[in-house]
Amino acid sequence: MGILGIESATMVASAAIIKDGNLVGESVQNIIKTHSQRLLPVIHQLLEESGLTHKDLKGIAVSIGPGSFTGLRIGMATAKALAQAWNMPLFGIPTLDGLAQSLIYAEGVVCPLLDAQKGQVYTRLFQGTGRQLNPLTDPMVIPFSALLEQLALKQETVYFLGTETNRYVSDIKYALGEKAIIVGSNLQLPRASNIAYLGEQYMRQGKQNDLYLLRPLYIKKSEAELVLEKRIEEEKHGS
Amino acid sequence: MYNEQAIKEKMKDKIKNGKSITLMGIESSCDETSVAVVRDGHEILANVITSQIDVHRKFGGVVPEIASRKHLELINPILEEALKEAKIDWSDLDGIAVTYGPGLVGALLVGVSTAKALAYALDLPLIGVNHMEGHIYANFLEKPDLTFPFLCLVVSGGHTDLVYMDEHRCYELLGRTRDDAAGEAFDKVARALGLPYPGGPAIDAMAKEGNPDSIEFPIARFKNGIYDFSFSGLKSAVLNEINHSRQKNEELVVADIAASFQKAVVKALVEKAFLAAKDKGIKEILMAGGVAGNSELRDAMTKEGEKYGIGISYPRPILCTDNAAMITCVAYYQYLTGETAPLSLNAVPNLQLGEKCYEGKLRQKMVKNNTPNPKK
Repeated sequence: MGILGIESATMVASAAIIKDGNLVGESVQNIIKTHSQRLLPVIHQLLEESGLTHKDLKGIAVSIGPGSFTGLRIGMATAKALAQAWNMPLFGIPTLDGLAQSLIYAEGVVCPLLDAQKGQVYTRLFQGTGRQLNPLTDPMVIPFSALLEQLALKQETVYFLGTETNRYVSDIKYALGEKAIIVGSNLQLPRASNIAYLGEQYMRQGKQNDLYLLRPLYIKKSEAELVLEKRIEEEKHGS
Repeated sequence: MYNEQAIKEKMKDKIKNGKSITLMGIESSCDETSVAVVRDGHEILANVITSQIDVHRKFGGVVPEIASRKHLELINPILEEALKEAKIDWSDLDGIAVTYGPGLVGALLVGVSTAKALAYALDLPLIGVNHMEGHIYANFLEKPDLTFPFLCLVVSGGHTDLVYMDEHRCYELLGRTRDDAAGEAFDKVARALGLPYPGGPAIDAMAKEGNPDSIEFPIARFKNGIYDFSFSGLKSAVLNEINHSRQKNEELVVADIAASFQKAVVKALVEKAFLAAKDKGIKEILMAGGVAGNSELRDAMTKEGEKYGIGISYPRPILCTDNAAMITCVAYYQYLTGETAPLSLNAVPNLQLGEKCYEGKLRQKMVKNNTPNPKK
């Protein structure tokens, strides 16, 4: 039983194959080149070099966000079309769950961070028991300063990981001091092996998504919708 | 495993053996999500078009982010619907075609990513198509035996081009708009008149009730570039007219303004198309693009054509709007010459007519005499 994992919610383009409980291969590229150009060649190369074909796969797991709107759409359009043409089940994995998997054995609060622009981050807080991660919140978008205020109240260790961590190191240290642990570069990035791993679990639990209904977890509305809502709100109060 | 070279060989064999070619095409460059299946470049087995106009109307125009989100929701069910309508299976396809520009980058990327994954998954050639070529080739869907040379008047929301063609997929740009595209002018004037989006059909319908001679609007003519168009002056003149009426508290006769404006646009288009046709000694003018669906433009072109013995062709209205059948039609001619795209194909939002631009790099120009774009 093989699972292809696809992760393109951030600048990172990653694909991985897990087969019969083994990670067969993974490609993680954190370079500035569009996903559109990289993603399919990466998948192609991975399958070819591992000597596998789609017949060795039983499902496709894809990171569904939150993250870069365009990155998510490229990953999901790719995953959906592959699943449709190969007639294979599709599993949508929340990006922050995938990212947090890298710290599954942590004891304390696990805080994955992804860029949401304008000083905001996407995060979902988990309680790590040393054996598993239990979600404390839903995936959310929050100003980073507000998140830090919340986390400063915690008594236990808080683990930070994700693409945005390096940018905020001094803020984190200032607000949380010794309580904060910032992971090294090896655990920093969202990667497809985590997505494939969770996909395997979803498959065992029968948590298959409807190909037609699976949508990205954008969390944020588009600018145009926000502007329109504000205008309608103002008109309501004006009249 | 996927091998572009091996796929090209297979294509050659198919053509050599005179096999029929069935292609699927995907179009997502703006606010229409469309998937088509076309056999041998003209037999439309399916052309499913889902318009998002209702979603964008409340914003007064297409919102790129919303369009991209909608495309992703719509595209997979539409793929299935197209197969069903064509009564074929994935295994009956000989290639996957997709619009990779010009258009909204986020919108294009949904189609491009989907098409690449399909081509890869099904081990089929991937064919990247220029949206504007698609509009021109909508004419070949109607008349596959059109004879060269001819002139094509391409009029849409983003383009107003006069293109000369004497062979397949080779374009000589004779004239183009120096500012607004004709369709853009329709949209802007419609908005100023309080007509709903999209403006073209709204003005077309309103103009039927108005007097086209009530106001004389200007037509731009140039000494250098006699085939070039300009619609921004016309648009300003209409906006001034509207403002004057409002200032004087006169009642705005929307139908008269719409009719007079439309007459001026049509006059400019007809005048320059026939000027070029006569200079080049052309016997056939094709029309293409969304504005080619305008009823008055069709009538005026046909009437003028009868006067000078020049044939006028235009696609059915449904094939003038953005649709995947026209994309699949171009792809057929690309298939015949073995022109496939790599799996690294990217969206190219400002792709020009006649350009082949894979991986963001210009590979080839098929334009004979390209006047530089004055907007750049």
